[in-house]
Amino acid sequence: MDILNNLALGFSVAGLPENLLYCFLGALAGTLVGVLPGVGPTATIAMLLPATFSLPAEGAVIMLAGIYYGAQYGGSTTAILLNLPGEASAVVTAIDGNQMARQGRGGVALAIAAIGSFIAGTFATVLIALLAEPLTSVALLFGPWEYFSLLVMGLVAAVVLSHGSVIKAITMVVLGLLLGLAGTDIYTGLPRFTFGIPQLREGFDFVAFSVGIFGIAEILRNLESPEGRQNGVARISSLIPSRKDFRETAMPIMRGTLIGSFLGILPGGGATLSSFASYAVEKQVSRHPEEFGTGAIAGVAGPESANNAGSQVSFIPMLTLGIPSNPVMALVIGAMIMQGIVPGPNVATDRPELFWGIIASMWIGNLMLILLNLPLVGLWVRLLKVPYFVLFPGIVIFSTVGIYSINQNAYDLVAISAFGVLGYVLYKLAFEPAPLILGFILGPMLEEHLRRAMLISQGDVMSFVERPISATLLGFSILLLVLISVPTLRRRREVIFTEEE
Amino acid sequence: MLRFIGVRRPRMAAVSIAVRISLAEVGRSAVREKIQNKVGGLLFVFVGLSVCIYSYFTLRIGTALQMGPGYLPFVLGILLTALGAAIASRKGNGGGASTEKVAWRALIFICLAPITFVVFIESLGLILATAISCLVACWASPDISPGKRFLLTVGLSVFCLFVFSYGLNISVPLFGTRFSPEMIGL
Repeated sequence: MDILNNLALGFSVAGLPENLLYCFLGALAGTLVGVLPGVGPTATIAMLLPATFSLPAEGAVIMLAGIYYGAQYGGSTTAILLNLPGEASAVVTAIDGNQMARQGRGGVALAIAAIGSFIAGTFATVLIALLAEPLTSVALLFGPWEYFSLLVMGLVAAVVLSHGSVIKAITMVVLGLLLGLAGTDIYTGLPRFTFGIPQLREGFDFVAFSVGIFGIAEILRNLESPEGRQNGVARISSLIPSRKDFRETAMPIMRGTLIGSFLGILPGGGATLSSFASYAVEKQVSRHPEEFGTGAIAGVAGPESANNAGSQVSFIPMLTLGIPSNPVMALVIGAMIMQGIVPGPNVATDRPELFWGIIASMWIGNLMLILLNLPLVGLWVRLLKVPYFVLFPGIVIFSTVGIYSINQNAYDLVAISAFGVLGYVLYKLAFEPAPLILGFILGPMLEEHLRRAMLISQGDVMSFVERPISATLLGFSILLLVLISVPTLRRRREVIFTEEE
Repeated sequence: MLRFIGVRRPRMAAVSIAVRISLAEVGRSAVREKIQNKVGGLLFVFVGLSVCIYSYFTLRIGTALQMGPGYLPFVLGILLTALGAAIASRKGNGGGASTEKVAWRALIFICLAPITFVVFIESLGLILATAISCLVACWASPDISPGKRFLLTVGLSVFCLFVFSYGLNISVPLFGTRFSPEMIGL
């Protein structure tokens, strides 16, 4: 039983006191940003990246992972009690969760959300453990053709699964690729797009890029309108669900877990998409669809399980192939590269303690989150009283000092401001930042594999379709692009994303 | 754009709200989106063309077999120009984000904060550079009174000192060259 041995190794690493501490810190930070609206996990992880630089690799990734799935728990708390989704993935939870809270069943909704998340998290942990090894061995067969095609598929999926205009999402991917290519050319050593500035030879700093595009732009958006926070927390009654509640939520939790596990693996998927899909499914299969929107417990249980499963399972393509499926994973890859680890199939064989330690820490983190969230609900809700004007200077200063401390490079700080302005301009023009950052991360990889493939196959473009895995991946990308051009499907996609707005 | 939904009032029941939106409003947001498309599209046409010109004149393009450093940038530049042109020629259909207000004040002061930090870090050191940069950042919001600004500045500077200097042990001097013994006449 290899898996059991591997999991035992993982738990022995994750169970080390310092790793337990990092896991706890990550889960705590995640809950915090999940609760606070206007501060998302992407911006938080970008902000904390510099701080993880001095930690050991295991601790750093365990903590960053904790932030991501912790945010899913925290986001549901405020969604249910205040009708204020702290996190995008909790938007659907607020629909029925807040209705339940108004009927005095807020405690039950919170408990079900936490239990559903825990079950989904456990399932996702097992799934990652089961899939990791087969996927890793497949990945070892990959040549530059397969990698190129896989990267193309990842980018196409990011476009398909982004919100709003498809052509704008493609534009963002292309711009991201271009920004990613700046710096020294790996084959000739010539500088590109550096404009004679020696500090730009290593390309735009990844952390400064993401802090600017996500963190600073987010602050600018939030400062557009003067502060207005709802208060009026629904009172929390009993936390313990009745037997009827358990019966009604068992199936939605299972369905949500499966939906999240499936969508999480897809590039471009993850927590948000999973929770919306799950809500739609629950409404379809329910015997009382009219109850949805008035406090149906299935409308809380399904999406909450789905978003947790989705957020955890999205680690699979990152850990096994080194391909990020969403911006958060892109940041985690950035953190690993800063630690000197190149994400990809070799991580599982070269650094098993890191690989399995991360997987085991997710389950431990989920356990911690239940303990953190349910008894301490009152404390988290009180946090909402922290006004935004205390938060935003803190975010700016913390990112500034953090980024300066990595390289002590003045250009990185100019880059934060420049990318912040870029992010804000793009928001104003209704372009999305997520495909941009994926393009930025994947750009250099894409170019390297493309050029290597063309060199080996002597400039033969057909080599991409002659190799079966590569051809399948490319075929799948084309299929995806065709599908979103089909009018009925496009309309459906638009409906889903209008719901999100 | 979902990621940032945070502070805006949640609009869960947007499906029903969307139905209720008056025709006038749809018309207005269609115009807004048309402007967004025009400006955004032309911006990318400009960026795409500049990238093409830059890579053509400063980098070796090469061939598909022997790709030079300029090959992919050149191709992507053409692609970006084409996409920009396509976006610019589109009509609006009533989606898109709000463009009415631009947070000019926030834009100026938030972006100035990291730059002030860089300007002062060498000469004044971590503590004072953090404090000055924080003061600048606080100016971004009109909600912050001078008293609060002072408290925030002190609080955040102390916080950063503890986290970065004592917690993470970064190698940025607390006091800059301005305070070196020679400079203050010792």
